Amino acid sequence: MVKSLWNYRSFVWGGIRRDLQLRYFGSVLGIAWLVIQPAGLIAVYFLIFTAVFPNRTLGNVGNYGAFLCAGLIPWLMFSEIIQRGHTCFLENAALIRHSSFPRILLPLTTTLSAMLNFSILFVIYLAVLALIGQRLSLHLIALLPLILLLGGLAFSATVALALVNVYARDISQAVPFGLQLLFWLTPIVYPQSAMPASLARFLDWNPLSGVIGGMQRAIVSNQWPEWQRLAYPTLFLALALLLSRAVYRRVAPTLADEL
Amino acid sequence: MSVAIRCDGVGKAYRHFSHPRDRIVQLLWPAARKYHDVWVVRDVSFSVEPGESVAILGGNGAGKSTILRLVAGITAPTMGQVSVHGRLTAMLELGMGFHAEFSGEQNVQMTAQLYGLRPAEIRMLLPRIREFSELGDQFFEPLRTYSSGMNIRLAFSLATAVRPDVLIIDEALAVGDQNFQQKSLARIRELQDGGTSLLFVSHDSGMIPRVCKRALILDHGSLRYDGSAEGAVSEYASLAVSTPRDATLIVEHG
Repeated sequence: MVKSLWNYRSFVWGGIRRDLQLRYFGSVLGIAWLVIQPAGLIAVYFLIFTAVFPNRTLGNVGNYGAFLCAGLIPWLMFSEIIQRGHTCFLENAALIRHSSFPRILLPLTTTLSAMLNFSILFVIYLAVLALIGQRLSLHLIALLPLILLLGGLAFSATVALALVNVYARDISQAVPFGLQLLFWLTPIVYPQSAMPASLARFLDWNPLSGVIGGMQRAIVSNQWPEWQRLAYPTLFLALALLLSRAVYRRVAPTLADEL
Repeated sequence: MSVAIRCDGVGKAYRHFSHPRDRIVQLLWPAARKYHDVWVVRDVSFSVEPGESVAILGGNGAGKSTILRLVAGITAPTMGQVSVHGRLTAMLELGMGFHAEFSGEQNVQMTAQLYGLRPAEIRMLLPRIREFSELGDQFFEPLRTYSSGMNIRLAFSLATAVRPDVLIIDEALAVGDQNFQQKSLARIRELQDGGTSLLFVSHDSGMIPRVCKRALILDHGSLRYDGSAEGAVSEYASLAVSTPRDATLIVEHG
C-alpha cells in the first residue's frame, strides 16, 4: 500500500502546489494570505482575552499570546484539513470518473498540503517568540511527533467524512458546526486548568486535549509533554485509522459510480 | 506471452436506492440490502492479445462505456474478474477529467503525474504534446476557455504521447476536425505497430474497420457478437433494424 503510494509522489507533490495556486488564484496578496489569515484570527482572540475581557478566569498561563498561538496554530491545521478535505472526492469527481488511481491520494494531498502550510506558520511563530525574547528550549522537538499525531487524527477523520459525504451531503452541513463545537471543547483559547474540575474531566475524552496541551507545554513552559496523556490520543488514532480504512476498503473500488 | 486484457464473466450492477437515507443505512450496515441492483453488464467474457485492436459496438445503454470503465480500473466489477497487463491510458466520456481552472499545460502535468511520469520526462513531453494538439498559445489558457474539440485534441495528444500497453478510446475521434482525425488515426496506427492493444468505442461504423480487425457487439449488457470488424458492422446494422431502440432515440433527440 505505502509502496504503491510512493509511486504517486510527484502527483501528491504537484497536488500540494496546485492546491496553493487554486486557493490564491486571482487574489492580489496571493500567498501572503497564508500568514495574514491566521495572524488576523490570532489577533482577534488575543484582543478579546487580554483587552476586552482581561483574564480573571484564565489563570496563570504566562505570556497569553504565546500560549494562544501554541494551541491555535495546530488547531487551524487540524480544522483546515477537515474543512478542505471532507469535500475532496466531490470536488474531484471528474478526475475520479476518468482515471484509476488510489482514491486515498486526494485526502492525503489535502492533509499534507495543510501540514506543510502550518509548519511554515509554526516556524514563523517560533521565530517571533525568539525575537521577543521568549525562552525556547530543546523541548520543541516534542512538537514533531505531536504534529504528526494531530495530522493523523485529522487525516483519518477526513477520509471517513469525505467518503460518507459522497453518499450523504449532510456531512458538508454538519462539519462547520462540528468543528466549532470541537474548538471550544479543546483547551486552546483557555488552559484546561481554568475549567471547573467537573467540566475538565470531559475535556479528557477529547483526543485533541492531550495533543494540544503537550504543544503548549513544550513552547510556553519549556516542559516535555505529559506522556501518559498522549496514550489516549495515540490509541484513538489507531482506532480511527482502522475505522476509516474499513470504510475506504468498502467504498473506494466503486466510488466512481456514486459521483 | 500473457494477454493484454482479460474479462472473465464480468457483470456490473449499479445500486439503486429509493431514498438517500438508505445509502447511509447500507454503508453502516452492509447486510441491510436497502437497494435494488440495476444490471448494466452481464456475464461478459473476452480477451485481447498484446497489439490487438478491438472495437465495441452497441446502442445507447448497451454497456459499452461501463465495459471501458471496468477495464480502465475506474470502477470494480460486481461479478467476475478484469485484468490488464501493462501501462493503461484511457480517454473516456470525451476527456481525461481535466480541471477547468487550470491551463492545458497544468492539466497535462497533473495527468502525467498521475501516470507516474517523472518531472524530467514530463518537461520533455510538454512541447511535443503542445505541438501535436495544435493548440498554440491556447495551451497556456484555462481549460474552461476550450471548445470540446480543443479539449479532445489535448486529451488525445496527452494520452498518446507515451506509448501505453493498453489504450482505451471512447468516442474521442468523432469530435476533432477532419484534419486532426487523420492525424489521430495515423498516431493510433503507429501505436498499434509498436504493440499497443486498443479498445475502441465509436458510433462511426465507417471508422471501425479502419482501426480494428476485431469487434464485439454488446446488447443490453450482454455480449452478442465477437468476430471480424466487418462482420460486426453488418451484424450491428441488421440488429439495429430489428430492434428499433436506437431509431426511436434518434427521433426523440432530433
